[in-house]
Amino acid sequence: MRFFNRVSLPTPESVNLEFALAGIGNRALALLIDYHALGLLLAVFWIGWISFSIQLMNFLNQLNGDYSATPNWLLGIFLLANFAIFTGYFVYFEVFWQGQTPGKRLAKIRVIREDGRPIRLSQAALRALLRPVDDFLFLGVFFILLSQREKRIGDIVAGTLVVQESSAETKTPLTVSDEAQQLATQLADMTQLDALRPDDFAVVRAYLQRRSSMAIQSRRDLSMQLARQLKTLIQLDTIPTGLTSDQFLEAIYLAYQNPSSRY
Amino acid sequence: MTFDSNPSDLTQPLSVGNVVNGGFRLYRSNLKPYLKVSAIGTLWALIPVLAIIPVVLFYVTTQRYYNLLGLIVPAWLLLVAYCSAQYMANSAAIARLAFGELINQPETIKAAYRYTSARKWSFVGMGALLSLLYFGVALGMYLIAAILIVIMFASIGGAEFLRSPASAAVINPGLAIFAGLVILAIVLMFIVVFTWFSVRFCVAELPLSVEREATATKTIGRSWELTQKSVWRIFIILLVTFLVTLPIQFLVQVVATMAQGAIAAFYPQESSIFLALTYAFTYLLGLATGIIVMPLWQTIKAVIYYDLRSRREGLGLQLRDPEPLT
Repeated sequence: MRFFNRVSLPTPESVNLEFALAGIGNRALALLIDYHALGLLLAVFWIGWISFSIQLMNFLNQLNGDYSATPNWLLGIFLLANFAIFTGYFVYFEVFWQGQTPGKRLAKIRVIREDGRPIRLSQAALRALLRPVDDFLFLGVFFILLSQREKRIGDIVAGTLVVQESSAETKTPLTVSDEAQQLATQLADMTQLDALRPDDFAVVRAYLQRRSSMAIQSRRDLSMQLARQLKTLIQLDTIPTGLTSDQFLEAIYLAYQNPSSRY
Repeated sequence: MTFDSNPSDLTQPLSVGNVVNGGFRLYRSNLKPYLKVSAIGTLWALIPVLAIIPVVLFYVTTQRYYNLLGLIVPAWLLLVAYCSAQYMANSAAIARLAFGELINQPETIKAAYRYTSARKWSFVGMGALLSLLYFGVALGMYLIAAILIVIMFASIGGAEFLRSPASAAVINPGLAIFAGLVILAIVLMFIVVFTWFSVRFCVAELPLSVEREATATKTIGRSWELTQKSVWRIFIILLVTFLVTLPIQFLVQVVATMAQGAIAAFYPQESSIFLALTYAFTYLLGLATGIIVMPLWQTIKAVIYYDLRSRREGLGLQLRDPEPLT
């Protein structure tokens, strides 16, 4: 199954850029986070504004004069400020964080223009202004689910796409035992490491990276199975005694990764 | 910033958003077959409801033969059990189809249904066991809550209050607020504990749908074991999925309100025909919504299960088939 909805964008330099679209899940998650942050922001503002208003009115009531119009002004400013905070939150972050809001950053997605360039103020503003239509009238979900390029109304008008961030390869250092390091130096001579393909190596590396979060029994089984298969592939007769299958896999990882030891 | 966006392929664990995406994409690319299976399953669930209508009509008109109920009730319960078994076999078939696609071993609807249908009584057993478990959890929670409330009641001078209600005014208002907070905390605890258990059991039907050696008990154990380190993540996945389905519920609500208005135009609002029609229509609408939404939850659960197995058991970490030696 094609897990990601990929799009290819032609650039003026006639290079095609490929992106995976963010998808409804990532966008809903980002929205969930952003609305919580925004809610917090608005709550702080409301408390501040209400206490300010009360104190101002107390103060004005001590003076002599007709201040009966003031509450209306306070309310008007309050409503405007709410609008400004709601719109400003999205515009500010999408412009200054290159198409990301805090929610989008956590969900690892980003808004870009249709030609792949970062969005500017005008696009961010259009998206933010149409957001109430998309979010509060629930139209955005249907547009995202049903359109080929997953655009809500704000995206269509602003000419933007929401894509997934390129996942930088996590460079978690693998812990490798001493025994494996010793074996790795010998493996190159003893075996046909060239018989391994990059895909095989990728599987070994993925196993070593993820083994710590696996269930014990499954990890043991998988390790044994991979070691046996690899042993056949590189035409090694027997795994050296006293080594666990994990250590053997570590040795293969080291030997394959480090070309200097291969020749 | 790099523009060479290439999110990891399937051998990597999936993020929260991508699990939800995966469920939606599976559903979207198999819309018709999944809807069909879902509709069949839902119609099975409708049968016991329909069966009860003539029984009620019979007793309303005759007002006698109540002895027959001794036969009718057990028969009806059997019908309920059989129909829920059918419903579960159908919904599990969708989950099995979805999982088959995820591991690149797609199946026909027939084959998937044959597999899950052969285990339909195991699904019922699983459902019964889960109900018992939830009942046990609820019982335990009530006990804890009762003990907490009694201790609290005693500590704020409740015993004194019972002896002479007039002393109510003496109770410290600070303590009363504290009592309110404790009750709020108990309610929160209920919600958290139930959510936690629901997450732990959320993929229970998957092992039974795809693993050969699974039984009604083992499949619950598998769900428990797989979800161990991912409760929070799965909770967010389910929450996000629920949020995305909200607009559909909203749409249904709009349609229901409109229909009610239309019915009201023909029949007076107090008439029994109006009530009957409104109930019937709302029920049918709910049924239709269920048919549409059920496959989504099944595909989401299939992706969660797939991702958990890839995290906990390295599912998909396969070397190519060793080449035959020449």
